[in-house]
Amino acid sequence: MRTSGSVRWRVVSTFLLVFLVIVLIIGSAAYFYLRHTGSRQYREYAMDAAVFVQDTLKESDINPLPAGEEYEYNRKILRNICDALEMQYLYIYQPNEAHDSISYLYVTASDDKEDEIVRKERPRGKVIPWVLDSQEENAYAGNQNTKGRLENNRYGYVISWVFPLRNESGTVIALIGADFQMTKLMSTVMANLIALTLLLGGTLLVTMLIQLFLLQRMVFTPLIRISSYMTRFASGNHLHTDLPEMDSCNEIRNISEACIKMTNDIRNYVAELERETDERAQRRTQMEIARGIQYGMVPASLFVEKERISVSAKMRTAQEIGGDFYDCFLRTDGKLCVMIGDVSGKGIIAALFMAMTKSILHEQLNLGMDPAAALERSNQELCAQNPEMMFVTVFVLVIDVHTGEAVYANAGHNPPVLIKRGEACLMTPKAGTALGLFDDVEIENESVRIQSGESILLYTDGVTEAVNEYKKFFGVDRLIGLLADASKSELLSSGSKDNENRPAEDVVNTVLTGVDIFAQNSEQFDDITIVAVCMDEGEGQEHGTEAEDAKRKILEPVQDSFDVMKEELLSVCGAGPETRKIILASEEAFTNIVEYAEATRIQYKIEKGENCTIVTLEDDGRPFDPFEVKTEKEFDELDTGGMGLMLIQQIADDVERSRRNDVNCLRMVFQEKLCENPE
Amino acid sequence: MTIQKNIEKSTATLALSGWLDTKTSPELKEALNNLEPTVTELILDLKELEYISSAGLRQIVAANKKMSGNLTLSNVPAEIMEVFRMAGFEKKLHIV
Repeated sequence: MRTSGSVRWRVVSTFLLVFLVIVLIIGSAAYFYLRHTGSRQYREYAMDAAVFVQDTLKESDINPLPAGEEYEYNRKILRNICDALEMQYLYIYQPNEAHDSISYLYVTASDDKEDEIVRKERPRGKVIPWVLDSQEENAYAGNQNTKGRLENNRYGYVISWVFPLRNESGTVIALIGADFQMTKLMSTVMANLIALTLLLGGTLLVTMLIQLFLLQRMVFTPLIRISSYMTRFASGNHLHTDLPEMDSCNEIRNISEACIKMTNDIRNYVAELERETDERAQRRTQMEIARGIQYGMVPASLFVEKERISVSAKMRTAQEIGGDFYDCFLRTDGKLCVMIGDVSGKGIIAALFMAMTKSILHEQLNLGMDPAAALERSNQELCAQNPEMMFVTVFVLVIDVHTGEAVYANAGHNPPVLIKRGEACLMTPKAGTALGLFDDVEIENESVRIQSGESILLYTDGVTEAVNEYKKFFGVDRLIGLLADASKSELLSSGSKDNENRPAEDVVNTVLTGVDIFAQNSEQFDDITIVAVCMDEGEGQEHGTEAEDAKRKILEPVQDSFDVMKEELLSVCGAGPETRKIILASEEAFTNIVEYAEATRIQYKIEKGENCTIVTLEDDGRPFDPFEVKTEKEFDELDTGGMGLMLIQQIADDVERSRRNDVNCLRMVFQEKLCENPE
Repeated sequence: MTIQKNIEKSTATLALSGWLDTKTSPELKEALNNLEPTVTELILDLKELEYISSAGLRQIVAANKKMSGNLTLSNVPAEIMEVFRMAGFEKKLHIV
């Protein structure tokens, strides 16, 4: 139960209540004790008086009642007894035979005036009607042990006893009445009572006050101080004020010490928590940056198109950064390298190892090595710098973009899926060994020819091991089924494509959507990476879709027609310095065709991608590859030409020449630069 | 493209502005051909030049030849400078 009010006032009020109760009990006990003692003393006096009267009066003093001097003598003796024994009245009386009246024999009072009054009012032998009460009957029957009677009558507040008076032979001949003034007794009792109460009460009060004072000093004051300190501390605004030193008894000292220890602990926790929070925020920022760096190395999505091959990739990490990677780049020999890898583990460690693996492998492949050789060489480097015994599974594919001829090698990675027209199946590469563990792995090259309309899907186990809410894996079978279905429906809907002819992206999106639907209510456990390599349906540009054709513009092979192209570039790419560079390269290429190709028409296509612009120029002129003839000219001879191609090569990030069906094709890719860097 | 010509004694200044490309470079060629024979030093002020292609570069090389090396390119914008750099002009010509 919750009680309110301060401890001090509770204790004080309890003290007062207890004090009052004690005083009351003691007072009333003393009152009854004193009164009892007083009345017992009166009774003894009364009995003494009865004995005196018995000794003094003979039967002759009663029957017959003497008169004159003898009566007065007897009465005087009786009055002396009355006075000596502090009585108010002492009287002898006799009931008549019928017990309905009494006659007073002797009536005396201690007080002189009162004695005179009773002498007149109750003279010798005065008879008054009176019915004897039980005590009087008792006494008249001879019983000595009568009880006192309290009476408040016209003689005042009195207590009276009645005793038998016997003659020599023991017969009761009269009754002795002894009255005592009660008022007198009560005043004595009250006086004693007040004195006693004052003494006892005073002592009690002083004791209590001393105790209160001690309690106040040793308990209440420190308690109030601690309590107000704790209240302020708990409010959080006075976290750094200390509890003042207190000189107090053990228990309070223990509390205050515990309190100081507790506040110090809380203070430390708070400081610790603030530090932790700061560190966590810092770590989060660093992770964000790391994530940025990783996605810089391995973009979240990618689309590359070369001749008839298109590649699309997407990566989604389970944590901020992950251990999956892929890469896709065109080698100087015109071959497209595609790789996918999965480092054991997740998070930072996996990401670091992934960065290392990707760089090494990229370098090896770029040197012109075949996949197996590049993997073996990379493995040696990884083994040499792998104290943590991390390992990575990799699948590398090197494709001839014109023929679709692909050489691949597997280092322990999941077998890719081959998607043909309306069906999908797992490829069966040799398993190989994951890189990083043994420095003498043997990896073999295998080859496949990707036919028109076929695709290869590379993925990491984040796809097949995606888990749904029933703890079921996505699995290879589901993946193959999904791809087969998608491939069928694509066949049916071909001819009305609205996907801008990007089958590779479609495949990637299909798989990603499939996994998302499957695992929609579960957390992503592993990094998911998907790479699709697709070979175009058609045999050449002539078979492009209408939409494709619409993008191509045909120009007269004269210099003035370049203005059309220039205007389109300006409107598509905006009038910035980057655009002027693209115009410069395009102009050089256009001028080249006009001046040397002897073409009857020039066709151009401008594609604006997310991060790049692709300009394609086609002419039906004589077959020639301007880049084959590289003549170094002296500076002074440059006025005759030769600078155009140099500029194209420097401006475009990728230049590709080909000739098919008697058409020269020049494709220039301009990546968007994030910042101007003249170096 | 517009060309503003200014001759001071034997020094001619041609201030080029706009686009110097395959189409407009003949204008510069003509301006160079029309220079008075007394002119021995040529300054090309490229401050207002927005664009240059290889045809324009060729005319600059031709001008340099004609002036026997006494060609100065002044106020070259960064963008044009990058084209010069790509073409290897920066070491061969006098650029201020």
